[in-house]
Amino acid sequence: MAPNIRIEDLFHRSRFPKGLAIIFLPFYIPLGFVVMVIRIFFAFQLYLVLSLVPKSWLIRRLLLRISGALTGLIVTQEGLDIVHRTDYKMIVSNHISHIDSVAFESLLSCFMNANKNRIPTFLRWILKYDEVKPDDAVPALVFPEGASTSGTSGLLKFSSWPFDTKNEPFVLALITVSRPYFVQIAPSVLGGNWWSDFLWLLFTPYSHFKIRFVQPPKREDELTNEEYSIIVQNFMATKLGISATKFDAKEKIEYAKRYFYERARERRERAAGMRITSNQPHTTVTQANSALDSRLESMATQVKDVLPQVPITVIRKNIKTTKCIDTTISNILEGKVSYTPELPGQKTQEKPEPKSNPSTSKVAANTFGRDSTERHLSFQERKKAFIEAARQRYIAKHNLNVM
Amino acid sequence: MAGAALKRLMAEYRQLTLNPPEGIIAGPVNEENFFEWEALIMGPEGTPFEDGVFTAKIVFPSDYPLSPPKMKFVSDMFHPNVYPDGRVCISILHAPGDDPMGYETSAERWSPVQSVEKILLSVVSMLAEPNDESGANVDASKLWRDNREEFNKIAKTLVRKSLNL
Repeated sequence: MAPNIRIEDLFHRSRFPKGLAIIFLPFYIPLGFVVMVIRIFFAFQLYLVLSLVPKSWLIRRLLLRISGALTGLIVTQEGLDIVHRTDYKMIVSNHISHIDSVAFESLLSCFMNANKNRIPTFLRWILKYDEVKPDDAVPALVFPEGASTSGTSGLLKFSSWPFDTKNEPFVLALITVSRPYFVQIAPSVLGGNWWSDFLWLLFTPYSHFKIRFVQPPKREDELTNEEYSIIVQNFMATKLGISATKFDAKEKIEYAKRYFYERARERRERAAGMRITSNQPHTTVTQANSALDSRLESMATQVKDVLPQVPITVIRKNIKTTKCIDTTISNILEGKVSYTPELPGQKTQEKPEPKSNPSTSKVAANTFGRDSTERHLSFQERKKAFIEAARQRYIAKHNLNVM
Repeated sequence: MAGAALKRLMAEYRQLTLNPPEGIIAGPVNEENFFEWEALIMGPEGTPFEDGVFTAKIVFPSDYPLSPPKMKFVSDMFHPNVYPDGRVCISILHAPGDDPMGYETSAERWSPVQSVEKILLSVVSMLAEPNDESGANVDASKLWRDNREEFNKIAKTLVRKSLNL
């Protein structure tokens, strides 16, 4: 478990590469568009043909693999013979992009449960997931992460529902995607949708999906589904050479929301800043000032996010002298800055006084220690006193003879 | 951002230490990790959980207070709004927009203005007045609605268990 991975490290935020690789991209773009247009027509016809072939036919997978290769999707596998040897009920895989399920379908016949996954209708139709009946011996394809990641730094936390004994035996699949160095387009991005994944696939010269099938780690008898899911997550992460994180799909959604909100705000602020500067084209001093002001203003809002009860005017004043978010927060918390809290009504009314005996159910410390061990000891002592008081009260109330 | 979260948590810890609300104690399990707290909550008087002391874990995200913490009872708990595995299901722990049940107004949701203290007070009032609209524990919801006597009996045993009696 690598605690230093932040949630923003798990996803690509832009399709375009950072660093040296971006130099080559502009040269490819015109060619990329031509390739994309040709492929769109080509892919359309092939998919039409594909939709006529029943799911169980081997030729379907061959066709899918050929058409995939022509549209830039190259799928290679390792260990597929493991899958053919046993009747697996489930394939558990990491999730890189919406193309994953197509890559799988070109190797073997599988299906995804439409209730548990949001699958675009188009994909469901092409991959004929609806044709699969419950009693068919077709393995279910499961992405326990519940959302896609960049696949290069960490796995999201696995849901525990797939790891029920009724879904055994199952096999693990590890997907890695590589694209040519001079066109490093990310397979999926934060907030991207399925058709953009496909359009970029058509744009890129080729995308190599490598799928490795491996046996899952042995399950000890007494493990719960959740405990086992963590073991499988760690196992897959090690095999992929990335780390297993505690972030889950919900946190990805929250992060995406926050990220896009922030970006929209930045854009608004920049637009507002430009308007100010264009009004005063001659005074460079005011220009510099307004840039500084807007920077201070955004710092002040960040402090306000953390300490909402502090009036913004107080924060602004302090941040003007400190020019540092952390220092201002410390100043306010340490009481170096005096202020009257906003929303005063909430602070005093929020404590509904239950009619219990205050002397026993309230264990306040006289001091808040400067030293962490001191604080910790005080916390432990107060906990003990709290429980003991409750015990005594209960015993007294019910006339118990416990000693 | 983790630095800001840490400072805010420290401030809340100080506040809860010097001026704790009735029937609540909370603080970091150990100070090496400020993002994992332990809270002791006393069952409010006049409720089935009266005098019980229930332990809960609170885990904070690194971008606290922008995102809400997660809370889970470590003590056994049988309550309509607590999942059988101990997770607490109340609206203040959900960020706006993330509404598993679809009935909460965003006013009762998590926002940076809320605090650990407010969460714990909400939990105390949840113990006093279960919300049977959001059934995190279906068995408990049913019993609470249809057979209050049995519910109170189970609560009593939990109270005793929590006090080691």
